[in-house]
Amino acid sequence: MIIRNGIRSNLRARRRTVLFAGMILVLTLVMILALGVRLYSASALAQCEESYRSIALVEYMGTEYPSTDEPDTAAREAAAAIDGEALRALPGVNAWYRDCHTLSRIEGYKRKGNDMPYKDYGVIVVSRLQPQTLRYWTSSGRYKEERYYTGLITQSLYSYDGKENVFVSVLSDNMPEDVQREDTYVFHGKFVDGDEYDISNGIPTFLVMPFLETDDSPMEKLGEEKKPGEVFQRAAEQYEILNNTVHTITCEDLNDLWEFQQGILYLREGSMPSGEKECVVSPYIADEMGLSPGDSLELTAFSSAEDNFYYGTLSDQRETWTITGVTNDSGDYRGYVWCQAKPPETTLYGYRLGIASLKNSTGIETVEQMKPLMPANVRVTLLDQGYAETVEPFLSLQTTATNVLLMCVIGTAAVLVLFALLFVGRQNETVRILVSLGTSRGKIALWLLSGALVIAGGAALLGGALGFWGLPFAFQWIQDRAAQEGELLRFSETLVNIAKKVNISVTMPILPIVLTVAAIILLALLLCLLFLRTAYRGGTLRRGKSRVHVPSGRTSTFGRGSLRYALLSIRRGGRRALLVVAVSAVLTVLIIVLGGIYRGWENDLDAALHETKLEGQVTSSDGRTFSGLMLKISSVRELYQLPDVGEMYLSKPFSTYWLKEEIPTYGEQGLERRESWIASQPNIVAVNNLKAAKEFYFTDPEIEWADGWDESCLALDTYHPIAYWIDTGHKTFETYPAVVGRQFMESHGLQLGEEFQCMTRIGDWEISLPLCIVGAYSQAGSRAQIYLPLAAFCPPDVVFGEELQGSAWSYRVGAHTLDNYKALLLESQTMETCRFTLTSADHLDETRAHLAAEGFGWPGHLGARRTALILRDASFVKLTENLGRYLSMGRVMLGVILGVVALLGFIISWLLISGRKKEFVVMRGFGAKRRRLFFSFFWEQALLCLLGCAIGCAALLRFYAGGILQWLTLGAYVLCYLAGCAISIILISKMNLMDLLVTEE
Amino acid sequence: MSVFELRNVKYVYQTQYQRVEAIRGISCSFDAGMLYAIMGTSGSGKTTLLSLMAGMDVPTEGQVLCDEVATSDMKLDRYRREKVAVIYQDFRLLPMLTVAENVMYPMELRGKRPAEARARAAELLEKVGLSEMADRFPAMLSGGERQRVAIARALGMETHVLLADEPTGNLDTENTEKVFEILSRLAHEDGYCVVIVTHDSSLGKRADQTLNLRDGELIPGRRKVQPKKEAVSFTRLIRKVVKN
Repeated sequence: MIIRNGIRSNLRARRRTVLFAGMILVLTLVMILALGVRLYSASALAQCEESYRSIALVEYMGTEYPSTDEPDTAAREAAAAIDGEALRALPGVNAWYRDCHTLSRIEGYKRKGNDMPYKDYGVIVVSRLQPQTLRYWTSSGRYKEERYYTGLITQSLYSYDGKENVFVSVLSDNMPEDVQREDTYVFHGKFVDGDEYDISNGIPTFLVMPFLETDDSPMEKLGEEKKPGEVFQRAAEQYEILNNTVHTITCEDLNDLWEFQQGILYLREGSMPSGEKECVVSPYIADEMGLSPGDSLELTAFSSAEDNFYYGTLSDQRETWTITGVTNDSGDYRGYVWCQAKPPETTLYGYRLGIASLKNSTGIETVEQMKPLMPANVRVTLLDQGYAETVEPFLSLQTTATNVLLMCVIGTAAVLVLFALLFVGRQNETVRILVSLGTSRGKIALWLLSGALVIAGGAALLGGALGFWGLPFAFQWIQDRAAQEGELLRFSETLVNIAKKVNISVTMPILPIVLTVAAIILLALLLCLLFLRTAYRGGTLRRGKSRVHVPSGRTSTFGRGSLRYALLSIRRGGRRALLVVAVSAVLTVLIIVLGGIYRGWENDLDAALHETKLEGQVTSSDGRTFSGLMLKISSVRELYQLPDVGEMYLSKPFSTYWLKEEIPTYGEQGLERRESWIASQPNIVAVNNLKAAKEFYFTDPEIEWADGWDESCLALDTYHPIAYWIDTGHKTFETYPAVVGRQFMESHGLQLGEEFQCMTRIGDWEISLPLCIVGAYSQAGSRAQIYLPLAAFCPPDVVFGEELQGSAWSYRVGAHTLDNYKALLLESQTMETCRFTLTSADHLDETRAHLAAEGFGWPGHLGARRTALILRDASFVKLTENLGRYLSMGRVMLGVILGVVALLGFIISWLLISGRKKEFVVMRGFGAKRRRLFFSFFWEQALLCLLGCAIGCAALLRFYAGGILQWLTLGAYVLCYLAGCAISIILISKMNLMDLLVTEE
Repeated sequence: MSVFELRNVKYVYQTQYQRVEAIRGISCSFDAGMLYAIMGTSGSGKTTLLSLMAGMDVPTEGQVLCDEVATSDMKLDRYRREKVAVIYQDFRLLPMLTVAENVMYPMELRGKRPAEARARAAELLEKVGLSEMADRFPAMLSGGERQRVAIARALGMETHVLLADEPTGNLDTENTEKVFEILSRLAHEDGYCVVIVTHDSSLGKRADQTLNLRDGELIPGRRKVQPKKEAVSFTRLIRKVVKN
């Protein structure tokens, strides 16, 4: 009965019940949704953490990048300079693996196809030699005749396809004059394309070449026994070994290797190694050797020569490995074995220095921390399988949901305190009556608690049920939002890796929902129990103790009208006035601090958008390689003409160079070796800015300039294109300014500002080009390029100028004007590298859309122009994403805070005013006008509220960050407070005076 | 001389569940210099009648006339400010104001400057014997003192009619006596029309006329004396009462 009556009496206070039940329901609902979203985001992040694997690929940007077998000493020095311990000490680094790429030998394994390093080399025994005559024109226009021989291969000591009993053309500069048909010779050399030597007799052509490591004669006339000499036998055996080695990559965790992490390789069968001495093999090895997971494999180590990865000797070191898996069929990885083990110390070949395994969540920051630890010219690339993009919406939601949850907890606690105060603490009259009826204390508690708990519990349960029903919709919304994120980041360098998709599994957080609802009910119960004492104390005798607040002060005659009463009430309001001031001051501080923080984020974002000058570059289709490209000048020109593109830097290596005295003598070394030597020389590179040179992509050039010269000379259009100069019949050339390597200058005794003649080949012409050294750079690689103004290859206005007037066709048919030449360049020539800057990061999304609309592609997505661009925006994207996340969270929080603050202001002013009905009655009883009555209370509350705000502002003025947002929020609080105050005054004023007279407060 | 008149006053109010006919056509006139006691059992409508007379509401039917002006013909705020003064059983003093300021408040409502009101309040407090309590707050006073402050405040309104709702209801016998003496002399010596609502029959017996309210109807009782035309020194009387 007690419980029933308690419930009924509370439920019958309809307005109060509906108001508080509504507030508890809404807060519970929002809390459940925020909790659900937070748990879902946390679960999604955990699943992503589990599913993704982030690595930092550390590569040296050498001249032959991305070669995997180049013996570059600069890369080795860089690798040696990397402090592995320092990298491992970084908090986001799980592991650091130095690159370990070696060759090994598997007994019985024979390579197939074109991936043999010495495929065309051979040691053959030829008989029935007959002299032939070769007639040709040299590149300098001279007629020449050479002798060569044809014969029959009677024995192949080594040739990759075992040619025997077939005829062959033998080409050699040093063939003895007395070769007889019955003679048998053994030759060392290589099979070449006869057409290249103007030999078109339909039989293989064999070019006799010196041995790779000895100076012995590459040919030998055999005696009666027809037994080739030891050196030929050894060479044949060596080719057999060199051509049938397998690549061995050793790493402590194969999953962290770039090829596996990027999904280029995956297992066709079996599993990844889980322990030491286990390996994975390519299908070529497995198929050739009939191996499958579980089988053993014996590898014999191969020691590569310092300057040649593929040349070396077999060692005695043999190890047996257990195959756990076979990879997919990938053309780039034929004959590979991946061994899971601690890698031995080996010499570095190629440009991959190592791999760091990273924690997914801090990948971008860790890469930024790694960069300063790297030597010059080393690139660190984060490859996170698209983790950052995938988790971004979840991180954003998690932050926002956490804060909303926090605010809801605070809001719920505040509402429950008020609820307990009103539904229990202020039930003095009920307690008085019940006490007078002799009701026991326990039953009074039961009466009050039952009513209050039914309301709070009912509202919380309903809120929980609605939240449970609404969560699937919230989850769906999150998934839809997450799916929209990727599209916005086209052209971002964050896309330079695979974008792994993970299906996030959804679990309804039933237990947390139940616990939340239970916690709300429990809190309501605790607070009600707390206020039970207040109610009991207020409803029973005080045993002579008075708790009446007595104001202080003397009679005043200051002021007139409503303001006088307001000021008196303020002065004598005691705790009531202090409460308003304190609450207002605290809320002001909160609003100013939060507003200041929010404004700070806004300023940071504005600064990032205005001040960040993003760079972009044209890359290979996978976004990894930015040099060695063939970028049509017409495409480059159109890229430059886009409104968002600012400066543009271009480079074109258009020929190799050498000094006349350095070239090996033509007659002694042979045509092949001469051509090969020229091709291996460093390049002359035309650039309009040294930033375009691939050598300086990842390190700023240190240039020492000659007096009166600077980098702008490279962009001048006053120089003639060398090829055009030749085409128009010029024999001598103007002197071009050149930026050369310091080592080159030192080794040739050249000084800054000195002129020298440099040989180069333009088309079929070998020319001597006069160069003036205007700048010297510290070369990082072993090959010192010479940098000339872009105009030496292509006048800059072909790319950067107005519309061209000439005609490429006219040039081809003989109208050799400069305009026509420019049109020819535009139509048919290419650049090797292209970097550009964006004028602003303000409208990056629009810029991305613009680039896409113009047909430029991004990594993994070739556009109509078959050109891929990337923007160097990883840090910027991370920064703006973080700030964007904070700002969106801040907006939600400010919205929630504004709502809470407004509600709090309203409730406080309402409670304070409605607790003073007796004063109303007295004032109205004496005939005070409504207006006077209104302002008597309004001025009081307004002044107190403003005083609190002023104190809060004064205390935290230095947090003011210049935005009006915090003032707007503060203004909204004051307005809401005053609105609550005004509404409560008006409502009380509208009550019938007769009712007011009998109202118990 | 009739200063206050009720003409067929009816008052009906509607609750959520019933229609209550609190006053059922009361006609009655009140003279200056007389002390009336409206008596009745609990729920008989005493307080409702006093509230109508005090201008807290207008009657459903009929008229309440003060100085021959009906409450329905003037703004109730102004009526309460200028025509009647009310004393409540629970004193209804403003807790944030000092005793003097409480007395000053109705004067200020009538447009008096605070300084003038302060001087007048001092006089009135002296009249009720509380001049030394002027700077105290209501919470510091006893029940009798508070009621005397309420009387001083009512006097500050300078009206002809003084309405008192159970003025001695919260007082002990000694204070009841004191308060009744003051009200009696205000009627008889200062010429106020004093109407007391009470259920205390001993007070009723001492009033000039008793009006019995029964089921919303007023039944006039005996009338003891005729109203006096001349007033005597009120201050002297009060002092005498206080001294006793």
